[in-house]
Amino acid sequence: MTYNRVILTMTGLALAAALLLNFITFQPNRIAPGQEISLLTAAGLPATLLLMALLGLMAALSWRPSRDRYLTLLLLTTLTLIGLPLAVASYAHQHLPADMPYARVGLGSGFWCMGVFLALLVVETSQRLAQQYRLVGMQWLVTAATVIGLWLLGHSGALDRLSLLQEYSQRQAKFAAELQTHLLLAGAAVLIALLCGIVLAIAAQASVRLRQPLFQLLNLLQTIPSLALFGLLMVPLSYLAAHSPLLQALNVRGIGWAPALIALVGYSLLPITRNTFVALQEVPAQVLDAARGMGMAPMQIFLAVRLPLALPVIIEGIRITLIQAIGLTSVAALIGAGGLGTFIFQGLGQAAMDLVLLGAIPTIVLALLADVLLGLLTRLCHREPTP
Amino acid sequence: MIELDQVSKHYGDSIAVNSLSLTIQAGDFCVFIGTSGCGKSTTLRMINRLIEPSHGHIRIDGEDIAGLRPELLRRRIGYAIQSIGLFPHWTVARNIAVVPQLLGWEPQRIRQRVHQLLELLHLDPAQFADKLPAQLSGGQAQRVGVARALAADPNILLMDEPFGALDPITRESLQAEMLRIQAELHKTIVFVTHDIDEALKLGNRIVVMDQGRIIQNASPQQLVQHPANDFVANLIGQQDRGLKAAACTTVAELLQPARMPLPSDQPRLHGSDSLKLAVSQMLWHKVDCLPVCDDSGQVIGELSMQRILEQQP
Repeated sequence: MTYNRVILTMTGLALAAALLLNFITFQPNRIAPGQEISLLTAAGLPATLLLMALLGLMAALSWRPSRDRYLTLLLLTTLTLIGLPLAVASYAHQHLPADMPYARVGLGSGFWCMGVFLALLVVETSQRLAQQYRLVGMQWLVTAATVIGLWLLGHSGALDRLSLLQEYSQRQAKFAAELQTHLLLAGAAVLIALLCGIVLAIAAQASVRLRQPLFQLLNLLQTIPSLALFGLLMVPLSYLAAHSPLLQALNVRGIGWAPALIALVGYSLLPITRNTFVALQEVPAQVLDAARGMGMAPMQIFLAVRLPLALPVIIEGIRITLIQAIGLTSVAALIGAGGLGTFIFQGLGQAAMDLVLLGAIPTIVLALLADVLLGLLTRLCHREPTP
Repeated sequence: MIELDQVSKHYGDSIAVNSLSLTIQAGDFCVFIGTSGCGKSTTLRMINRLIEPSHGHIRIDGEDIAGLRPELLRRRIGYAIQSIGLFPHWTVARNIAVVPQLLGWEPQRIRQRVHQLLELLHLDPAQFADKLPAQLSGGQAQRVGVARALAADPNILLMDEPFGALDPITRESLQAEMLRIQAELHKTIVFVTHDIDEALKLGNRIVVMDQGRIIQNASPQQLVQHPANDFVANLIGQQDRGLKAAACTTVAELLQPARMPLPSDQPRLHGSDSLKLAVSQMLWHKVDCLPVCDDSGQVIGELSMQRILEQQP
């Protein structure tokens, strides 16, 4: 193959998005419909030509790819990824009327599309580098560079007129609190589900009779829609709270953190229990027979042989569950449990899309972070034999 | 010495082992053989209490094992199964060290012992100690399995079809290894197999089992020459029992003094070779007499076809 088709396609798509879609929107205030602005208008002719040239150069680098060309490509992509918000900042600086404090800049479809295509470009390039040239982890370097670039840009105040950041700056304290609530809810739910799940998995493994009803119950739990489950929990919890001073003291009510946590634990139980059960079950019988025959006590067999061999699959279960729980916690905002979902539902209510994004983007970032970190942990546990 | 005294094992209505009595002398290489489901593996696993007998008593050196804690009993008995029984998450060294560690040996002593065992099994310690089981070939993994069973220097070794999954060439080399180790260490070995050639080659006592009972308990020679019934005769095979019998006798047993100087370009036999190999050599080289030499290559006598025929019943 003399040229990399993926890179050529991605640069072509990014170019099309830059030219055909609106780059940003201008809003005189928060809820007024935005005025669409193209890249040429927003960034001016020189900057637009520079972007075209960068994308053209990238497309050219897809020809006869080599290690150095891929690395150059990554560098150019990183620069472009930081350059896009810079263009937004420069527009805001030059064109937003100073006498309109509520005027703001929203990010348009062209901006988002270019971001996505460039991100895919980074994925493709780093995969090639890892597979063909044994240069692993370049995507993290690019991500880190882009994040640092964005952070510096945001910190300098250049992006203050961006609507997303305006929504944020008006709610800084609330954002931090909701983020904490979100993490606490999802984390606590997975932790509780993990403890229960391990006990249930060991029980299911020891007793064949328990196995089927247990998994039927957990499956049933999984099929109830989350909103319905929240609703179902309200009635018994309200009743219990009304009759127990202890629960009242803990601020347990029909709405709030208690039903949210219970529902999240319920949803987390199935993936964790099933993965733990399968993991423990899949340890080869001969290995366990050998362990017994060597004279290991039952507890030693479990802790030294069974659990370590099952660990990668168990952590895989935790990974899936944590990602699911982070997503589900957004819904918990509906019953007053707080979390990042608060912004999403507020934004939907007020037709303020940037407020929705303020809740949605961090939720996605959290889920991706959980995915990466636990995936890393699984790989550490596997201890692949080195040939 | 292992004594089984009217030992039975029932699973509901089915009887796996039926009132079995057997004494295995110290230093014996005792092979249990039979078709699958004949109770040979169950009997072996009752000796280290992986399975508890329904009735009867098992004594080791006169002591009833029912009164011992199973874990402590098992640490005193070597146990080897097919190579997939190695702990996949531990290195070769750690696999071998399992029982010494359970017994609380000093780390220094364990390291020395692991080193010594790897050398005994012809595995270079520098090369193999830190490998994981997945990086070993089938034969190497099985050597590690045998080393692990020998780790705490037990008097008794239980081996449950340890070479069953190996290819014929690797299996033969490991069988030779077992004979060498047994000649060196004189353990009491109980070995389960369904391969009659393996049984005849390894055992000095062969216990043929069927439907949970002992059909015949004899030395390999007796077994081949006087099978107790049709079942044993079929197991040995009717057609090539002559060769099987020859495989059970060594050249050294029929050694004659050399009558005349033999041509030096003739192939030579070793004292430890079987009669089967001697006959094969004679057929191939179309001679009826071959010189026999010792390990240093010195001719110590000869063996003729005449002598072999006289000895066979």
